[in-house]
Amino acid sequence: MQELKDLLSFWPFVTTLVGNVYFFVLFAALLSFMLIGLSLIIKYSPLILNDLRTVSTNEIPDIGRKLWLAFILLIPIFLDAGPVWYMLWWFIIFWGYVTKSEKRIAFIFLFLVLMSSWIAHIGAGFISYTNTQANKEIFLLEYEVASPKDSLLVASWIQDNPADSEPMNAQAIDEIKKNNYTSAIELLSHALDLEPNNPRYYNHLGIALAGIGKNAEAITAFKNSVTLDPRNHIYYYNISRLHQALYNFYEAEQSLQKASSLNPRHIREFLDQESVDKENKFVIVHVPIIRQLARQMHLSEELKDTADSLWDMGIGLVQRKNAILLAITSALILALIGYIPQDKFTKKCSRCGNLYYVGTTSGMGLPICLQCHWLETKAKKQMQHALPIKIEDIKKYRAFTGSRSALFELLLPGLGSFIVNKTAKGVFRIIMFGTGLLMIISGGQFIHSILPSQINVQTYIRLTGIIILGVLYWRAYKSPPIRYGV
Amino acid sequence: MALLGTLKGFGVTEIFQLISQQMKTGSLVLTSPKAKVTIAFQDGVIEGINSDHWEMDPRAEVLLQGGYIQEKDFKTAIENQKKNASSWFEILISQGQLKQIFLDKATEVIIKKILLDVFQWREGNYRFEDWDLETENMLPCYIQTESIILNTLRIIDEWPVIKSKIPPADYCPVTIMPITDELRKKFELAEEDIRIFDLIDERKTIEIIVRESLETPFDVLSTFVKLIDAGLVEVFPKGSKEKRDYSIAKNVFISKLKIASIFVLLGLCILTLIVFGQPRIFHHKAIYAPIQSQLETQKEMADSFTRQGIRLSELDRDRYAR
Repeated sequence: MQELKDLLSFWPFVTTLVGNVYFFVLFAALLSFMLIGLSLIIKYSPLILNDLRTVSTNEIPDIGRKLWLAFILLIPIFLDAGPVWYMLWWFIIFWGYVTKSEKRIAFIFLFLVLMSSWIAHIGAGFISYTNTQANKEIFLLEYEVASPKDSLLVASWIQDNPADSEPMNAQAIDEIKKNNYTSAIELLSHALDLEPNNPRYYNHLGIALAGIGKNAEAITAFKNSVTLDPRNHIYYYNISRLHQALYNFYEAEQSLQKASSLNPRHIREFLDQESVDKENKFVIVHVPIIRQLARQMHLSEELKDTADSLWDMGIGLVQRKNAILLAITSALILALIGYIPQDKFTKKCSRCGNLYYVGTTSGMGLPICLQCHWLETKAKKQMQHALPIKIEDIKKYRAFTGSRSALFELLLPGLGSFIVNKTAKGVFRIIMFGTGLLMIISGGQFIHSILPSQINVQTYIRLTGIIILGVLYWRAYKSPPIRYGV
Repeated sequence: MALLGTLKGFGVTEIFQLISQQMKTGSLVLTSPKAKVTIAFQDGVIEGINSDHWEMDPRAEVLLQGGYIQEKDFKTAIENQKKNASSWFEILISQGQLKQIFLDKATEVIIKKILLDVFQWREGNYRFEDWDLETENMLPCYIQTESIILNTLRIIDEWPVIKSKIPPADYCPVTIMPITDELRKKFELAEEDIRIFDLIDERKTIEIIVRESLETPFDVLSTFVKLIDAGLVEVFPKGSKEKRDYSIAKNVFISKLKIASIFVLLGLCILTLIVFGQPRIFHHKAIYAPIQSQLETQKEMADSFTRQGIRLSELDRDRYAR
């Protein structure tokens, strides 16, 4: 646990962790939506086939209707379209048939399409983290594991991007390590011109000034750091070290006490380290992880190309910049389809299973034929007067649906629930199935840390996935969507 | 107790349901701009119906139109009913000129028609009087209210699809092939459907068959739609009997052509989309090249640092300077 906690202070580990979680959620959502789409096909294809038969007055043979429907449903496969298009297309086709709760899924999906450009941008930020904003080189320089090539790359980056202060700070730290204090001061002064309120730069400037004996200026620089970030114990510690070197023991003690009050454990470690290595006293403050993460999301050519590729992979057909337009157009199409009179679409009564055109909706918002609606509004004590044949129909349909949905639920957890209009249960089980499946397939790894860590959780994630699927199938068996007779 | 109100506030279905549930006895008077209908209930069961549109016994009209009684016989029976103190149908039944079953069917048709009409009223008033059960001038019947509600609701539910496919009333239906048990099962044909199929003789128009069937127009028309959809019956304009064989042959040919064209068109659509649609499955890998290359770079770097013996967990969190 402590090892994991330590690793959380390293940017490559954090970005990989957050990136993998991000992609996991994204792919699980996409997989779940695809499975929901599949459930919609299984649920509503018979109704579309019935409408095709009605419209074509039986002139198209069964096989022809089925082939045409398959073709219509699979049109995106003949185009350069990503998986999102399939869902979008299926929602458009089934819009006249779906229930209110299923329409809500479509709205969530449209919201994701609306946000897809930004989603792709953030995803690209995680994928391209090694190639953008000289982030990797800055990290390697700060931790002294950079190759000469990395140093050169940072220098070149500074030349090409004179308004970016962070690489200047990183190079300044490198210069301090090489005792080139003058160069470091020059770089840090430039960095502070660009970002005058950055306490870290003042801290490093203080170290560099102390290096060439400008102690008064160094103390001023350290004090500036403290003023800008009074909660950082390192700045107090560095002042105390400088006062100690200048034999100002009282001031040194005061600053050390202040530093200890903020983080005693860390200060103890510094002092222990100092007793081992008397040469190195001052402590460098690394680029905060949040800042590194924010930097890797900055727009650049590499990031844009990666985001475009990512967007093309998921959606495609139109350019990423048209994501909002795509979502709005889709919403508009769905709204227009909503204006088609409901009696043009076959509906299946959720009580008796009869196909009907007019009907109404039950209290739960489920499709129901007028006969069943009438039966439902009757007082229970009067049920014995209702037509026994109709009651028998409802009983038979319930028995049939009960066994059928239980079978479907075992084929794909959630599918049976979808078919019997238990949408919330269906969505939950499908999401869990998608999550479990993705855990097994991917092991939770999508991007890699440039610096390997000892932690390998893929096996655990795969095992968790197997457990999730096992529990899900057990629940699907023990708790089918409909319990006939209960 | 009287129950009064408008049909806007309380629909006909609800009124019927209330009377049925409460098992009320009395008369329900429904008034709309179109007509005034009185329905007698006995313990919640419909026992009589009357409409102000009826100038004579409506059953006679149905039976005359269907050819089940002759006009001459009917007039004689009407004249005799005053002398004999028996009703016209009792005279005709006693003379063997009318069967009781046809009379019952005619009653059923009228009641179903009038109730279907009444159930669709959206404007008008209702008045229920539980002290007044006068069935003398009414068309007598015995119908469970629930069953008539269910049947009417079914018709309203199914009407949109039937309406769009009803053939013209003056067209003549022609049978294309005899109904076998296999076809009967395949198209789920009921006894009534077979009876209407049997009424087709290539001369009668749809309108005549509706009258002769002694079924409601909805039932007959929905049967026709079912038979036409199943390809068992076709309709032609009246008087075109001689053109029938040619037309059937032409229709059979066109139908085969249509079926062939459906598959050809499907094939063409698929081919066109494959050629012009640039299907992704033919052109792209699962992971796009720019992303693949970035991921490979990450892996290579990780391998390189591993070879150098540099691990993240071994880096110092705090860096020191002199």
